[in-house]
Amino acid sequence: MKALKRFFLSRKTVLWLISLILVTVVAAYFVPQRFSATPANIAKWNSEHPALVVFINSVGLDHLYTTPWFAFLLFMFFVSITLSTYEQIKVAMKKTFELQEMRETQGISINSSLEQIVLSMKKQGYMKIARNKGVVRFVKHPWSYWGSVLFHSGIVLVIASSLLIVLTQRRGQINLAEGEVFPARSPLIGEEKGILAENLLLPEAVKIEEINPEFWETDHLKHLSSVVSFIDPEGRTKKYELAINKIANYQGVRIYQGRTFGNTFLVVLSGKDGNEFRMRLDMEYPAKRDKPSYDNFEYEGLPFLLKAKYFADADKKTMDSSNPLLVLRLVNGEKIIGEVPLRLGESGQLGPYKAALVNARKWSGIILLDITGMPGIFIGFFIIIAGIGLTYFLPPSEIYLIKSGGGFSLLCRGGRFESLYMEEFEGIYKTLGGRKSE
Amino acid sequence: MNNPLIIDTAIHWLAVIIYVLASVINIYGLIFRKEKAETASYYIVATGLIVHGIALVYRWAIAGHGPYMVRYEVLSSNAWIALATFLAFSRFFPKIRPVSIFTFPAVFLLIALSLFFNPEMKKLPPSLQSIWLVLHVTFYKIALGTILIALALSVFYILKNRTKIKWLERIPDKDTLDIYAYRFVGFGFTFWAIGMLAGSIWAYQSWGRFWGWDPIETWSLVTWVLFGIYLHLRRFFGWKGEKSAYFFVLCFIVSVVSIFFVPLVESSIHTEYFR
Repeated sequence: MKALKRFFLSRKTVLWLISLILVTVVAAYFVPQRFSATPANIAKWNSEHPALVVFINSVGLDHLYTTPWFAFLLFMFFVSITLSTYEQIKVAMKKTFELQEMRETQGISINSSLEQIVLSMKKQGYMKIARNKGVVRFVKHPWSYWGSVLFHSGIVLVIASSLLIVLTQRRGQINLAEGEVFPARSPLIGEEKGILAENLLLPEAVKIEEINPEFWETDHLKHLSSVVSFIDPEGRTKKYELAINKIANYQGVRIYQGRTFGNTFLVVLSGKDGNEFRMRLDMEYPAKRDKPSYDNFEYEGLPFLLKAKYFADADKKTMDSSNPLLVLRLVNGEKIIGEVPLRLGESGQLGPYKAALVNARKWSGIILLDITGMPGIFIGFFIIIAGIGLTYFLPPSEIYLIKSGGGFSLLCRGGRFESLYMEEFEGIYKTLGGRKSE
Repeated sequence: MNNPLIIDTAIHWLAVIIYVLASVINIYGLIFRKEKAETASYYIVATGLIVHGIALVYRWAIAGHGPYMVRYEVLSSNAWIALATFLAFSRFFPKIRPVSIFTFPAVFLLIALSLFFNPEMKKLPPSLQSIWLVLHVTFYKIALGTILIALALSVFYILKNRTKIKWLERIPDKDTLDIYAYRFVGFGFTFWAIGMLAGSIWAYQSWGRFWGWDPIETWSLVTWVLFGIYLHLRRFFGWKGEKSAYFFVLCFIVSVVSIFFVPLVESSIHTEYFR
């Protein structure tokens, strides 16, 4: 047990663990990660690096942050740093409160009374911390002895909280058009959940009442907000206003305004044979008033590919989508079968079909997140900053006053930043009438 | 002269001219031991800082947001904060004053570099309308200022150790350079951590993810951990002097790659508006 503790407390172990984590994170940076890259990007990367694919798949470098061995590395680091924190508490206690044995020969004789010395120390910002057997200890910034403890305990808290989040968090998205209702307990899109978490199913139905995008004169998005309602089984509704950076809380679930939004078009294609296709085309909002948004659609029973583009404003004068222009093109392989521009309520011939644009509404994504442990992350980070701030901004320095015959000797120590305090120490020696050391 | 971009660029050029003048006088003062010239250079550079500050405030007023959207304003504000950080720290730690020979030219070169980028103004997207973004960006810039000082001290140490350049006799002894470099890396480590924390809170508020392993996030963490390794090596493994100076130069190169080059070659939420 002692050997294990020694291993985890070894500075070399800590350094090796940090270096290993660093190397693996850098290696994973060069490989597209499954959770963030698109399948097309992953396939492209794999085809360009065939020699590496087997190795990467076998070690899981394409999903590093969910591999058991990376979790093991983090766990080892966690154990090491937890033990180290415990040891450092003991060191900090000792440094703060204990008085070391001192010999008068270690100091420099001074010609001042105790009262003068104490007053001078106070002026310089030193606090009397301990007194024993003819030795008085003064410390400047004594709380800085706890800087390292804070830094390490902050890291422990951040890692523990991250682990809790990875195991228990649940998140997903719903895309809804204005007026549309998302039924209770329906599966979310792109759901992510921790190993210990169940699916995030909303107990009540959700409806988007309105979606309000606002644009700068440059056509860039200025503001995106929406009003959503949660509807209980009795039909009672509770409204929430969402916006980017404005989050709502619903029964412990955080609700975010998603960044994705656009228009949903209801198009009816009617064939001469009486066949009718009622199609819902969800398209992303155009980036500029004179640049359309594009998408392709395939429908069961429709023998052609439907290509669509739309301008927010048919006259291309605004980013407001109350008068959009939808252009549909029917394609068979490389061959264009037909094309028709449609405004709201219009119809026209699209190859063998009569196409009608029946309805156009805005849609938007809503992100739902159930997460536990975030305060731990942020408090841990604050503790880390407090720790390193104390260590580097307020390094401690000590002055020992040792009773020597009828007078006193003075010994100054500044720890690892001692040379920063040399001038201050020289000044103190001079003020108190001491002889400068040889 | 009604075009705000021309006014903005003109004030920037004026600041560059003042900074160049300050740098020349500062270098002359330091190398030829002319204390009056060196002191004068600080007054001139402070004037440049005010003019440069006016340019940034003017741009902020007409763009409607702080200097964190396009490379031109990002580099310019980096230069301003680096210089302000140096001037503030040099009041508390007068021994670092000779670092001005490095900082003053670095500042005007940074602004001059920014002037080669398109000064167009971009509007702020909704996800960037957060006080946490301002804190996130500001603390990274302050961190850059402190690690620039640490870099200069490390380079001075190496030069002093390897060469017999006469004017280097005017700067503090090697032990002092070494200990100040150590401490300024500690400052940089602290400010970098605050920048990461503010970014993390902002990301959680905007997207519900406090950490997304975005390329810039990854490289920022890598840089921070590298600084941590430097501090760990110094504290527990007795690293000091030239060995740690070289190691810090490596850390600095990685930090520059993470701040300036990753956004250029990688796509991420950070780079969406910076290209």
